[in-house]
Amino acid sequence: MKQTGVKLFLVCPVVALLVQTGLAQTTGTITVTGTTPTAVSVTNASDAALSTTVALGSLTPAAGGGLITGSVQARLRSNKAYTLSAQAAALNLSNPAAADGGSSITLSDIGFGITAVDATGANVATGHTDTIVSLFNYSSGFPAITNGLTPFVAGTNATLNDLTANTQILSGSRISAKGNISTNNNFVLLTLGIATLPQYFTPNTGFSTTVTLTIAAP
Amino acid sequence: MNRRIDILLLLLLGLILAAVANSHAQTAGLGLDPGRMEVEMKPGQEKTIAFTIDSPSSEVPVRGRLLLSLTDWDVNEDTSISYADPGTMKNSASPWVVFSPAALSISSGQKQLVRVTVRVPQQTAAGVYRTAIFVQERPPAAAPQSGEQLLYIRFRYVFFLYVVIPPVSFEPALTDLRLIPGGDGLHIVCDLANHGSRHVRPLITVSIRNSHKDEIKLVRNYEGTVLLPFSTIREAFRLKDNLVPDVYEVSAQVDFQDNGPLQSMHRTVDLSSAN
Repeated sequence: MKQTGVKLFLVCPVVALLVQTGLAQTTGTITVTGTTPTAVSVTNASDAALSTTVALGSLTPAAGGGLITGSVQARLRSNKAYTLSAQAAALNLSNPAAADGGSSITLSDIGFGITAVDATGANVATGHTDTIVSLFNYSSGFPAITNGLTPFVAGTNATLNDLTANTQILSGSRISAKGNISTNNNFVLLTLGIATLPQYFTPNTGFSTTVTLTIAAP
Repeated sequence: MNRRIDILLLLLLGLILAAVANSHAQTAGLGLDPGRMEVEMKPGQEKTIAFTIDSPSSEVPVRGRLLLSLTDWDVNEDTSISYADPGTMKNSASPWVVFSPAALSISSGQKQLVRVTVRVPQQTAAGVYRTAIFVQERPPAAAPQSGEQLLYIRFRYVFFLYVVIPPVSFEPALTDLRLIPGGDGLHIVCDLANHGSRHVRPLITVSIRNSHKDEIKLVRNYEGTVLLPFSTIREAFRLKDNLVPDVYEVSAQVDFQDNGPLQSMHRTVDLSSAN
């Protein structure tokens, strides 16, 4: 009997507390706040690196030889309109031989542009459009070789020489309808092409340059 | 009992396959979140904001060293963006900004917070001031080895910052609408001007109809390039196909998102004698 009394003594405050809580929760509003900020990203589709390297290999001139080409793919995502620009650093030649009246390879001997833009993912924003700056549009391929000389015509076919200053090469409307940086169907797959024709340039033991691609949504 | 173990094994196999499939979808790279920010401040005030550098998970772990640096920027009339050394452009907010860290290491699956502190000097006049922070990988220092012909492709990301010192005002206008030939075909060009001291973000709808009222091209609510204070831009829309000889009506409607009325313009273009 005494035990029952103790139990009742303990239960009563609990009931009282529950009633009080119940009374306090009449009606209420939960406010969920947050923002969806502007976000942009570039990820590599094939290379596991933050930056990537294109090796053009041995550039040996040959009769009837074609362009040596390379390509880079990148996935662009954004929830706002974007622009992509590019800038090439000076060509860094290793151990160049004496010119002897000849010519060395220059930035204008290396074609550079966009060969494909694929925006067919299911979660690409409806009505999305991309505009390639015409000079950098190589979607129909690089120009044909006619005489063993560099086929890129200044002002018509873009080369790295057109990128000595930061230059816009692509722009577009919002890309991603939703998803995040790892979603596999909310991006524009961009393919950049690089090409050069091996010629009797002044010998060197190697060369390199850096092309910086800048994605922006100002 | 054996049947139960078989079912469990099948479920486990399914989970492993799903995990593998998921990991293939993940790639290396970087993202900025947010990619731009606008802060309203008063002269003499200090504010700290932040953005995140996001490196997604990768099947092959990626590690890199990133450098951060300030830059000034501007939008050109053709809507391209120019970058310049910090503090060299008009209305630059770069001298007011400090950020941390200026360099960092990042690995796949990591996020790094960058804090940006803005101190607006006393006596700063009202207006919109701009700066940006480049985020890019350290360039290769080594010269090419013998036999190497290399192009390093480096991605650079930009965090844009607008510092708005009130009072500022909107005064945008759609000033002209043209159909002009370009190197890659015909373009519908909207000329936009901003006579106000606050930037605006126009939403543009353009259409072109032939004499039979057939719609040739329609772009609806295209988010145009930011229209900076006291600036003009030419927003161009390329027509994929050439137009056959006819009389066309070109229309544009712009919502400057400034709580003002929609602005619209129509032009009749006679191409009936064109080849």
